[in-house]
Amino acid sequence: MGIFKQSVLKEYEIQMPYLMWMSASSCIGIKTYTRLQSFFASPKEFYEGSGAKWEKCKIFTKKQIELLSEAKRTKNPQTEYEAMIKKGINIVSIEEEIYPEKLREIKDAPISLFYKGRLPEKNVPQIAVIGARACTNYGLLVAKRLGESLAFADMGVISGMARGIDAEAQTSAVVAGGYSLAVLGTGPDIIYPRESKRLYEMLERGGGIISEYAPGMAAKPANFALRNRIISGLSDVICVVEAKEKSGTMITIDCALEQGREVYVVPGRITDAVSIGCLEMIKQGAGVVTGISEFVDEIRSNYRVDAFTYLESKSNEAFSDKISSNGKYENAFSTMGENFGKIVLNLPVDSFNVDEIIVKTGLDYGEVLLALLSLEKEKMVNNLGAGRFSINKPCLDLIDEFRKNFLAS
Amino acid sequence: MVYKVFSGTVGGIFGDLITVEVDSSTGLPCLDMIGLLGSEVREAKERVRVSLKNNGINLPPMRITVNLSPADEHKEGAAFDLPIATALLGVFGYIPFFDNLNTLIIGELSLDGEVKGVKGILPIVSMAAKRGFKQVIIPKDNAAEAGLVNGIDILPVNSIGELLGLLSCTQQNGDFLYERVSIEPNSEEESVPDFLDVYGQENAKRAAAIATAGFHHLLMIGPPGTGKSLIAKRIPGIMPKLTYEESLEISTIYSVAGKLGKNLPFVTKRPFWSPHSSSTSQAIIGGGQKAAPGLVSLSHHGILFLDEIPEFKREILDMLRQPLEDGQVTVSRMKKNYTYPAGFMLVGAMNPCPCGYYPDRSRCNCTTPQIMRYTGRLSGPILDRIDICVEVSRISPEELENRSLKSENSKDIREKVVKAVETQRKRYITEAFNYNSQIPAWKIKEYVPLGDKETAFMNSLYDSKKFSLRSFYKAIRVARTIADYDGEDNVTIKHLAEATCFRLPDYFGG
Repeated sequence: MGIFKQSVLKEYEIQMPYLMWMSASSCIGIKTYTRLQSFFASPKEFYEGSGAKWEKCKIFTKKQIELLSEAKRTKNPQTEYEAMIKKGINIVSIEEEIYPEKLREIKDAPISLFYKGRLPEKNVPQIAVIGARACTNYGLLVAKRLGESLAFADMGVISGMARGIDAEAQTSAVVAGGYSLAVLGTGPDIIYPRESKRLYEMLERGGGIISEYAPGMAAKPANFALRNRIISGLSDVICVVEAKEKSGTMITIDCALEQGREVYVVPGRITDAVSIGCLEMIKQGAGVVTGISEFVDEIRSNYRVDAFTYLESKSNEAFSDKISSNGKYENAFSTMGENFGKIVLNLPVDSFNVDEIIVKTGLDYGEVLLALLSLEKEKMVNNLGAGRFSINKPCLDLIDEFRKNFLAS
Repeated sequence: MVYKVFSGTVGGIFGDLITVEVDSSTGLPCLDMIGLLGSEVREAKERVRVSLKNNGINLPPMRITVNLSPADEHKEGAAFDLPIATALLGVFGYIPFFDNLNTLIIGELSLDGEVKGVKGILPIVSMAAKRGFKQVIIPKDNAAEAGLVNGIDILPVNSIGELLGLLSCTQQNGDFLYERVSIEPNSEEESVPDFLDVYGQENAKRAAAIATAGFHHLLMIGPPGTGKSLIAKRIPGIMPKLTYEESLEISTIYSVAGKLGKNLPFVTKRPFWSPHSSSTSQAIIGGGQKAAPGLVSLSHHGILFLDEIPEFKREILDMLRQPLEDGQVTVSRMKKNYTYPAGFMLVGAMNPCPCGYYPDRSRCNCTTPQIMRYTGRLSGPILDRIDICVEVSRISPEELENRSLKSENSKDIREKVVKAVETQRKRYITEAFNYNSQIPAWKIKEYVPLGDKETAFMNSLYDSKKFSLRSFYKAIRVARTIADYDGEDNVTIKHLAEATCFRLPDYFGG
C-alpha cells in the first residue's frame, strides 16, 4: 500500500481536494504519482511543498514546475473541490475501492476520475461499442441493435458519446433500460459535441459520464486520443462497428490490444470508406460479429461471473454504499412503523408481487402498497409495473442487516 | 284492387319500413311475388297459401301479385309471411274493419297456421313507434322483447286463427293487447359469482374494481391456474346495474343477432362474452353474409373477456383497434355497410411467457427471445389502449390457510363502483364521454388538475421510468379513477403512485 493511499483513506475529506488539484494540473500521470510517494507523505504535503521542494525530487522538468506553480497560484483546491461537488460531479481516486478494477490494471491509468451518474458495476461485462462519427445508416442500425441487445442481456455499453456510432449505441442502450457509460475527452461537465446533450442528460440518470479531466476542461484534439485508452481500459470487449483506415477508433483498438482486451468487428461493405478499418482488422484476425444475439451469447458465456467473486464484490459494494450514503437507508427504516418492519422482513430476494406480500404478512392491501411505494421513493425497491416490485440490488445487504436487527429487537 | 300492409326488416341495428302490396286481378290463376326477394322470402308464398288453406281460407283462382317495396332493397328472412297473409286476407275482403295503415305486422308462419318468433323484433318495433304506428302485430314468442319499446300497442298472436280474430274486431282489441312486465335489471344477483370466492388476490381484485369504475381496459398477466378467469367472470357482478337505455341498446343488438327469444326476451344483465382463441374474425368483429354483429357488439356496455389473448390471431387483435378507439365498429359486406355499437370493456388474460412462470426465474426456463416473441404478439396499438395491467400471482395453499384474509364481497365493491361512476357522470355531464378512461389527452389538464408536488412527481417518473407520453396520460387517467373510487376529490401523489403500479410491466416496454 502506497503512502498516499494510507493518507487518502485516513483523511479522505482533507486529502481529496489536493488529489483533485494534482490530477487537474495535468502534469502528473500514474508514474510520477507513484514516484512522488517516496518524497511526500500525502497529496496535501505535496501541494504545500514549494517549487524548490518539487525540484529536489528531480521528477519534473522546468516547464512542469512552472505549470505547477502557476496552478498553485491560480487554483485553490478547497474551493475548486467544493464547487465541483456542488455541480454534482464526483471524484474517485485510484486509491479507492470503487475505482474501476479493470482500469487500475492498465499501464497508464489515470490517478483519479471525475464522474457523474454511476460507475460501471463490478463483475458485469462491459462492452465498448465504438465507431466512426461519419457512419452509414447500416452502421447506425447495427449500433442500435447492439446497444439494445447488450442492455437486455444486462451488460454495460461504454463509448465516447461522439456523434454517429457512439451516440447511437449509447442512446439505444439507455432507452432499452440498460447501463451505459460515456468516457469524455473533456471535463465531465462539458457536453461535446453539443448535439449529444440529450444523451448526456439521459446518461446522468440512466448511466454514467466519466473523464480523467477536471471539470471545465474544454475540448482539445489530443485529449480525445488519450481518453481512448480509458474506453478500452474499462471494457472487457471492444466491438467496432465502422472505422476508417486512420481514425480515433483505430487508436482505441491499438490501446485495447496493448491492454489485452478482446476485439470484435462488425463486417461492412468493401465499397464503403468506413469499412476499410474494420475489414483490415478482420484480415488481421479480429473476432467477427456475424449475428447480434450470437455475439451477445458468446460474451455472456465467456464472461460469466462466478458466484464467489460476485458475493465478495457485493459485500464491498454495500460497505462503500453505506459510507457514501451517510446512513440514509437506516433513516428510511427507522422513520416507519412496525408494519413496515413486518413487510421488509418478508421481502423475497427475487422480484415479487404485491399479493405475495399481502398473503405473507396478512396486512391490508393499502398498508402494503404504501410501504412499498415509500421504499420505492427511497430507491430501495424498483416498481416494475403490473404490481411487481424488486429489491434494488445494492440494498440487499442493508435489508439483511435490518432484518437481523429487527428480529433481535 | 290493391291492399297495403306495413312490415319491417333490419338493417344494422335499425329497423327499415317495408310495404307489402297485394293486387288481385283477372287472368290466369297464379301467385307472383316481386321486389328483389331472397329465396326464403320467395318461399313465403307456399307457406302462406298452405297455412291459409289449413285454416279454412282458400284463395280464389285469380292472378295475384305481391310486391314488397322499396323494390331496390334486397329482402331476407321469414318475417314477411304474416304481413303477406294479412294483405291477402285484406285484398279478398275478409277483414274490412282492419286499420291497415296504422299497423305494422311481422311474423313467420308454419303450414298448420302457427305463428313463429323471428329475429330483430326490437329495432323494427322501435322504428314503428318512432314512425307513429299505433300498433304492431307480432309473434307471441317475441312479445316480451317488443314490450321493451314504449308508446305503441303490442298485439301478439299465436296462430292464423288468432290473427283472424284480432283483425275482425270492429273497435277495441283489448283482449289481445299485451301487458308489459316491468323490467328489473339484475334482480338475479345470485347467479353472478361473488368476489368473496377469490382468495389472496387483493391487488388483482382492486385493479379489476378500479378498471370497472373508470371503464378502463384491463390486462391480467399470470401463470396458469391462478384465478385470472375467476376474476374476469366476477367483473359483471360489480358493474352498475343497467339503465333502461343501456338495456334497450344491448337488447337491440341481441335482437339483430337473433339471441333473444322466449327465455331471454331482453337483456338485463351486463353482457359477458368469452370467445375461445380459435374464434374467427367474423365471430368477434362481426360480418358473415349478413354483416351480422360480432361479439364486440354483443359485449356493448359489458365485458369482452379474451382469455389467453396472445393465442388469438394477430389480425383479430389488430381489428379490435377501431372498436377500442371509437366504441363502435363498421362492418361492410357486399352491398351492406352497417355500424354497430361496440363500447365494451376489454379484459385480457395471458401467461407472461410460453411456460407461464416468467418473471419467476426459479421456474421459468424460457429464453429472452422466446418471451419477447410471446409478449410481442400483442401489438403496440392494442397495448396502448390497455390502461390497467396487473399480475395475478401464484399463492401456495399453505400460505392461504395460514392467513384469515379480509376480503370485500361484490356487493360492497359495486357500491363503490356505482358511486365512482356517478361522480364521473356528473363531472362529464357536458361532454360526449362518460368515463375517466375516455378523457382525451387535451382535456386531461382541465379535468385532472395536478398540484405542483404532483406534477413534479409525474415529471420525475416520466424522466426516469421510460414512460411514453401515452403511458404518462394513462397513469393520470387511472389515478383519477382511483381517487374517484376511494371517494376523494383531488388526485394526490398517493393515487398517482398507485396508478404507476398498474402500468404495463417493463417487458412490454412500459
